[in-house]
Amino acid sequence: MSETPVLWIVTLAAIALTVWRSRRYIVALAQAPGANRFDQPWRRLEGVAIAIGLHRKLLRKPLSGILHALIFVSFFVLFTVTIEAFGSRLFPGFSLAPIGGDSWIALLQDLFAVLMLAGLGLAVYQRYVLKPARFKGSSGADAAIIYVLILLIVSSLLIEAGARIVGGADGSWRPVASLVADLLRVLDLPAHPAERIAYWIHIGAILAFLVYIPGSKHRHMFLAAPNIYFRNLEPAGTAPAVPSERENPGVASLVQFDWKQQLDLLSCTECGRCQAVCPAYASGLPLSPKMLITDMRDALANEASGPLVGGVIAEETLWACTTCRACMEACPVEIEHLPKIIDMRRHLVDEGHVSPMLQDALSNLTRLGNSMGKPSKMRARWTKELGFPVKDARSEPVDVLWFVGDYASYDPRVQDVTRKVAELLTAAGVDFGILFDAERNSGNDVRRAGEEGLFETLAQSNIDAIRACSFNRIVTTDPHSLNALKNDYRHFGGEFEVLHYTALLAELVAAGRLDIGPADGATVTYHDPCYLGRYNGGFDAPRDLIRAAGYTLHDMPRCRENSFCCGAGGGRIWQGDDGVKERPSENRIREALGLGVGIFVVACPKDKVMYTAATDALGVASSLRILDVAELINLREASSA
Amino acid sequence: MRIIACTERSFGKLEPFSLEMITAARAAGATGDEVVAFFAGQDPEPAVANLGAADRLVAASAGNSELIAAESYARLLKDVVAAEEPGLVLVPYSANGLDVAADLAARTGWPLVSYVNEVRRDGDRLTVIAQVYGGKILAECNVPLPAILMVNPGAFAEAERRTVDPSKLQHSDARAVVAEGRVRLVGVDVPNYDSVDLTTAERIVCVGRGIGDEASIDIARGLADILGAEIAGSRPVVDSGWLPKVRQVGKSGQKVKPKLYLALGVSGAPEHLEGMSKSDLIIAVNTDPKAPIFNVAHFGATCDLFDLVANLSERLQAASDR
Amino acid sequence: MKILVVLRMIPDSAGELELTSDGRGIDREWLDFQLNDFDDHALEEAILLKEASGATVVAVAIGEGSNRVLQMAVARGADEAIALDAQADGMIDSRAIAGSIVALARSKAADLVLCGVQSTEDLFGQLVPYAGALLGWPHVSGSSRLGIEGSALRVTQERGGGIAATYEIALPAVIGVQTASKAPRYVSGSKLREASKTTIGKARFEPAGFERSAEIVALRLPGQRGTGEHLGDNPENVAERLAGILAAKGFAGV
Ligand SMILES: Cc1cc2nc3c(=O)[nH]c(=O)nc-3n(C[C@H](O)[C@H](O)[C@H](O)COP(=O)(O)OP(=O)(O)OC[C@H]3O[C@@H](n4cnc5c(N)ncnc54)[C@H](O)[C@@H]3O)c2cc1C
Ligand code: SF4
Ligand code: SF4
Repeated sequence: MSETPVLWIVTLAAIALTVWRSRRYIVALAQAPGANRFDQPWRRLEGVAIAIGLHRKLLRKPLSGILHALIFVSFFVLFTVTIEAFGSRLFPGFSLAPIGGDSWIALLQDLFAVLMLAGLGLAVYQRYVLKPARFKGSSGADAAIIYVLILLIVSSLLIEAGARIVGGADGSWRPVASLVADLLRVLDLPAHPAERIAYWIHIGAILAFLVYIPGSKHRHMFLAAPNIYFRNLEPAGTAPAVPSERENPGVASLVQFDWKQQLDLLSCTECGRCQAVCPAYASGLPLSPKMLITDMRDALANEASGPLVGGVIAEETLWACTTCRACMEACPVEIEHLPKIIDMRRHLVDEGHVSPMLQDALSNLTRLGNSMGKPSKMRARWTKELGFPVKDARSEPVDVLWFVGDYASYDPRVQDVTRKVAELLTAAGVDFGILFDAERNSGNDVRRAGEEGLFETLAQSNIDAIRACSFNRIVTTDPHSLNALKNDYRHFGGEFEVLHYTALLAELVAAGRLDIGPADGATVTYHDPCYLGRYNGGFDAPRDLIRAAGYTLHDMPRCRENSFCCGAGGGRIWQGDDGVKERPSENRIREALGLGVGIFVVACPKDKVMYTAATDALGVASSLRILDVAELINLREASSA
Repeated sequence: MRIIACTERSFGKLEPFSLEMITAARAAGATGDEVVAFFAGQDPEPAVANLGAADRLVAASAGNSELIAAESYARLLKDVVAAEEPGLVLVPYSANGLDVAADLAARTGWPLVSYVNEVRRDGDRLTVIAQVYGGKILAECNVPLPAILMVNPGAFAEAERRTVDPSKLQHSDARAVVAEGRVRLVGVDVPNYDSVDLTTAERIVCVGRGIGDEASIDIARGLADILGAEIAGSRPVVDSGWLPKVRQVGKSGQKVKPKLYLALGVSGAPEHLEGMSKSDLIIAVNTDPKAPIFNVAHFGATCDLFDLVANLSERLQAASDR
Repeated sequence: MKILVVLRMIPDSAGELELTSDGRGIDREWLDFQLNDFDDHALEEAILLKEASGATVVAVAIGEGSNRVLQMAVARGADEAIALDAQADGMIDSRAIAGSIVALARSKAADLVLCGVQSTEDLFGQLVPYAGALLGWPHVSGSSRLGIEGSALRVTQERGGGIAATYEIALPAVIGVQTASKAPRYVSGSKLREASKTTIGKARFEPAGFERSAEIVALRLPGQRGTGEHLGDNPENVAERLAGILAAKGFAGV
């Protein structure tokens, strides 16, 4: 039989089989609720170009990045081989020769076949020799099958080309295939049968690859680009709103996730970059963001997988997340872990499934507007020990409305910092005021703990209080409040200009409004709070302040976007640490201890609390002091007084 | 005037507060007043053996169950009140007293003041000091007689233990009353002390990181044993594995409310205070006078905890040996 | 079965209490009010009984913030919500409100009245025995577990020192709850927001009919917390003082 009908039959059969293997996913995506991800096409394309074209995130891990780039580019070049292989038999007479198929294209194919093999070799070396921990839990068999298929595809194409050269074809544009031809000559294989066998191996491997893909992480070859294209363009700090058509606030089954959330599941490459940076995973809690995604993905494929929340994904897994966003920052294909976690937590909260400690905190927040169970009337108590009165922004206009936040208002370890900030603002002549007992917890972590209803109540109450004041800008102490006021309140019509106190102080320093008596240049390190740095890009102001205060900054190994969460966020500070092998805060303090500095600078009230407790726990409180940026700043008048 | 002092027994023994009721009755009485002790329960023998400080004892034996339901107790008391026509009835603040005092007040229409710590009698005027808001406030009240007071255990000293003179004992069989009751006792559970539950512990000795090392915990444990207290720890102590997690007090441990909380080398971080600041009596020992634990302590000392524990254990041991 | 559950709003236990200028009351202006914790457990027990045996739950609340708490009760599963106008805006005196609770128990044809075993404002006696005696129903205070067995209630009562007694009681009855069989459940903010649309009934104050009662002459603050006594730094002296204090309070030397 002629090869053409045979190839038609196997190709069509393979395509049909591939579609059949993908049917569940196709149906799931088609039936999923809508998501508005079609706006701003140019910005979206640009993101795809940077992510894929420049391998921006992939190259953060150099070895992986380079080997992926090798394989990725080689794949495109070698695709011409595939076109030629199928085209020439399916449509007799088709050939790339007129555009250079036998000359420069042939040369490229030859070279990139080698580069592909080099990339493959590196991949094998990485996976089987280096064995990075982030692959733990990824499917090893899947990777091995793909390696074998790629090896078959590339070696068969070289052998086929080599055999053709043995059979008399021109080898001048094919240096590598010529070497293979020499080898074949030595082995004395008959040229024509060898060429045909290699051809069919090549075709077989490609079709096998095609059929295999729907069940494999290598779906990402097709889905990575669309997944990046349809990424979330809202600010990182805006938690997903509850869609109006959803009956309950949360998500209890996969089908309730919109198509983009489901597409995420299919796009995961199992690269484990998210797992490697996850503080919950590092602390020994049963959460790996990678496995969260792959478990849900597997459930999508398997109808009999049981309930989603509390089944496929355990409750402890959901509660373990600190919402630090490190996973999303790391993910090369822009998978959105957090919206899924928050939506599933919303379901748990709606069902009343919360741990006793969290219940305490949420009940306190419902009743008193703060998580500590302190009377709301005592919120501004810290002002009593100031040497001057603080304006009540509710009764007189101010330039800066200071949203102080729970920890900065109530926690005795932080109140000193709060007073210091008040003194600095006063010294700089800033006209500021606070909301006194009209302030409520911003709701940032309430929302991320899945308590959407309570968040709405808190947000509404704060928005009403803020709107009743006359001011120009809002400044917050707590990065968590910063995030809620700046990003979340927009969902409720509260659009304000909000900045972190470090940004305001940096502005005042730059304007020469603070007369600083600089320190002696001692070296300190600094922890980037998740909600200031990763979420809101506030990386530089605290660093500028540290330098302005007269200290030398020695950055942490994990800093800026890669900062490692203290473990308090997303409501974790309101939960117990059962199952925690090493608290994230203590992991972080150990990291700092390695730097040989005496001061660990923070810019978040929760960090002051978490790290003070961590140095207590490790017994290093005397060798590593936890100081807020504000505490570093020494005013000249104050020091002479 | 006649004053009735209610008494109770539990598991074979007279409740010590029974003797306190007699002291309270004397404090509320004027010269010439008669103090009548009332007892209802299984076998009045411990009452007879101890309540001699009262002028008389009216005892109702209520059959063979260890506890008598408050309903029956209240019914028997009401009959005694009707017969004796007292000017004042003192009920202890106990699980039983909680159901008895206001029941009697409702049935007689008499005034009632609960959680009484002090009484003052001035002719026919009775003034009492009682706790409200969990003891955060003391209320001075005017009480028109006849009246009922629910008295806090521990507020009055125990009266001297003496046997009741047989001529002063009036004894009746109350089984018929108990049998008529609509509240039927079906079982009594006595706690099993194998597993610790700090939340119900009445006395706690808590060690913080100031204890230094695991071996030193035994020193604190020695004191806890003398005091009949449970040993507990702050988070760093539990983190270090010196005490099990069930013994951690604080935000992420147990929230406790014992009658006595002795904190040794605990700094008093807010997360710790969250778990214990509601304790009735807090005593803190910490070398750092600025330690925030002193903000909640009723008594504080700034000496070395080891010196203190050694000294205190010795004294308490000697006192109990005496 | 119909259960009437009583919810009293009391000053937040974490707040600082200050006295009014006449010294007879506490300054309520600057206080947060919260549901009496024991009443919260009573509500939970009522809802648990409803879930176990299909009872109807009528919640009645008294004091500042009643509406909020009644909405919460409905969100948790109460079928009817009633705000009782206690007339006075001072302490919620259980002796005074007992008449109203009795009237409601009768008018709603309740078989079971549940409320917290105590409240911090129970100076003149507790609601459970007052209501029980006035209704002529049996009452038990301090329950830590409650169940229905046939037509009878089975109540486990905490008696201190870890001892627990179990009773069987024929209905109707009044029970003072110390702890619910299960910790009070969490109701999400979205359920609360939904429940904010509930209509809340009103009930009038009914006097309990007591002719004579004790009255407050003066309130005062005992030695404040945080101003605790400093015993010094000499271990000998401290040990001596502590031994004395412990003995006086009955912790040692008996
Ligand atoms: C989210 C979160 C939850 C937490 N949960 C809890 C919790 O449940 N329980 C808890 O306890 N903590 C908890 N913590 C930790 C808390 O913040 C403190 O770190 C901890 O309570 C400190 O314990 P400590 O007082 O034993 O130790 P330290 O703070 O180190 O205090 C030791 C004290 O001992 C004194 N001392 C030393 N030597 C002596 C001596 N020889 N004699 C007398 N005094 C001496 C010192 O002056 C010092 O004050 C939590 C922290 C966080 C952030
Ligand atoms: S947000 Fe942080 S804690 Fe949560 S899954 Fe991602 S990396 Fe882990
Ligand atoms: S979610 Fe993203 S980062 Fe995590 S394994 Fe999948 S592709 Fe990698």
